[in-house]
Amino acid sequence: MKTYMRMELLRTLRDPFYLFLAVVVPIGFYLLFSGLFGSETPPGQLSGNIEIMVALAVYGGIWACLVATGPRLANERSSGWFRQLSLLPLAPWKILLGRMLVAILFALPAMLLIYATAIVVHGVQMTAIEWLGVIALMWIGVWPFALLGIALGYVTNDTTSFGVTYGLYMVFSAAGGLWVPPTILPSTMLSIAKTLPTYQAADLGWRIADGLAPAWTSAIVLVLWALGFLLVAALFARRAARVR
Amino acid sequence: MKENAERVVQMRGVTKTFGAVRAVDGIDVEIRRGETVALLGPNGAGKTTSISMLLGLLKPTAGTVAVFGQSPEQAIKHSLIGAMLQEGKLMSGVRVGEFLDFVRSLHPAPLSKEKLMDLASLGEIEHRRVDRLSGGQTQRVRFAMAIAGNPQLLLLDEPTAAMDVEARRDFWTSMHAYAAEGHTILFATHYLEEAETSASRLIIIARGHVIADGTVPEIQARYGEPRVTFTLQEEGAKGFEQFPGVHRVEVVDQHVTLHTSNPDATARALVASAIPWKDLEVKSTDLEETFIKLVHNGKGEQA
Repeated sequence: MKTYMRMELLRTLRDPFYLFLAVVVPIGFYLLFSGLFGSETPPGQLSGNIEIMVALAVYGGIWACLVATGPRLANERSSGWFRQLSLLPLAPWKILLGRMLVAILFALPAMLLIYATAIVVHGVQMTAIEWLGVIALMWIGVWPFALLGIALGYVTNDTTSFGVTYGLYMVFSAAGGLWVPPTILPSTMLSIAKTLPTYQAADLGWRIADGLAPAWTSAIVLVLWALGFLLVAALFARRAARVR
Repeated sequence: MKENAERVVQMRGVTKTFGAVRAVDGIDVEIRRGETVALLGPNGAGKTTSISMLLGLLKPTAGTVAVFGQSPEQAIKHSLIGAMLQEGKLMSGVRVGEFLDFVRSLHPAPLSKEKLMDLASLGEIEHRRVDRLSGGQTQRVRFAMAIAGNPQLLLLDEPTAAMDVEARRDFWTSMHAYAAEGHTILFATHYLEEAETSASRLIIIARGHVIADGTVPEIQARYGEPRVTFTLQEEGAKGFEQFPGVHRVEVVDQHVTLHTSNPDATARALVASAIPWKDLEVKSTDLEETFIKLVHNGKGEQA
């Protein structure tokens, strides 16, 4: 599995599209949003620069998780590579696990670059403990999206995969309050947002940056979504693997 | 047990249906260690379906498939089978050398990289990206992928379909080098010439049935149609139908072809007769004609 992961890492690094969407776009958005709203710090609330930084770190992180799994898996199932891979002595679960680990691994630098941009451009400051908490917990918070990616890799095919993955990414991001500060969302929208993994992954960071302990509900919501994604992935993977 | 180990491939009464279509219809095939076997048949004969079942990619509707006495999945897990499918892209974004290192790392006793590159003639393209190769080069990489684990059995589904003449020749050279080391090889093809020159045994299938199985001389002796040909020096000779063994007579201008079941007796009768002949020849249909006849009539084992 180690060599398989090394292959996948290499391939992802050589994919300019990945780098663009997972790294450049979130940083661009960060600079744009923080330039527009970053200086606003409503009394008693998190500074705009930090709030947007947290939201866009999640935004970049989940795309890294999705793009390294979903469209790629769908593409390889269609292209016949997956079929050939099944003729090598490599267990299918190792292939899927390897892919998810690579996706997760790639989410980290995508997120770190957002934090670095925030520090360099806006001089964002937090204590070392807060940084550690933000970096570690939010990274873990985006992991469920690697499972969603695997599920999408099986649910979609080569032609639909990218559109569906990108569409869901947008829906999860917008509805999860990553584009607009959740505080200004109407209350119905906010209660919907709170049920989504995107909001909860970001909320881990928002609370830590605000000097609060992360909420247990975040962990519960994220685990439930992860289980849901896993279930869909398992169902469709079994259906695809069934030998006629 | 020992006898079983020698039996590399065993298909018994294997049938595969897709809806109402019987792609493979009750075939029995046994292949022993060291054989190089061509699975020969026209498109749609059931070659790919048969190979897919030997690889565990399809399950037979009826009958049993065993490879080295175990299921195809087990045999793959134990690196006993190497396979080259008819289509399918390779892992994109990696170089040929990296790709082969990866495939080799999956097997317990792979071929050395040098040997692999040599057997598949990949030396010049080691540093090229796998997704930026020509059709023939891609096939060579796929061949390397199939033999990387030094498998006992190599299954190739129309391996040369995407190749030009030269690439095809190079490919068979590589394949023969691998076969020479005592490996068992089964390849599907619809090119008679490839089957004839590269295989020690032919299994001819059509419409899901095995219609002939044996070496080229065996098949010729069994299904070839001998005939006696000569040229008449005067027109008007008749009565060839009466010669022993003759079942059909063709006369074009002065050229006579006698289709016979007993060429020796027919020739003797001609020589003994008063008919003025020259250019006497006794020959058999060539393999191509035999093949076309077999496929066309569905004769052979089925009849």
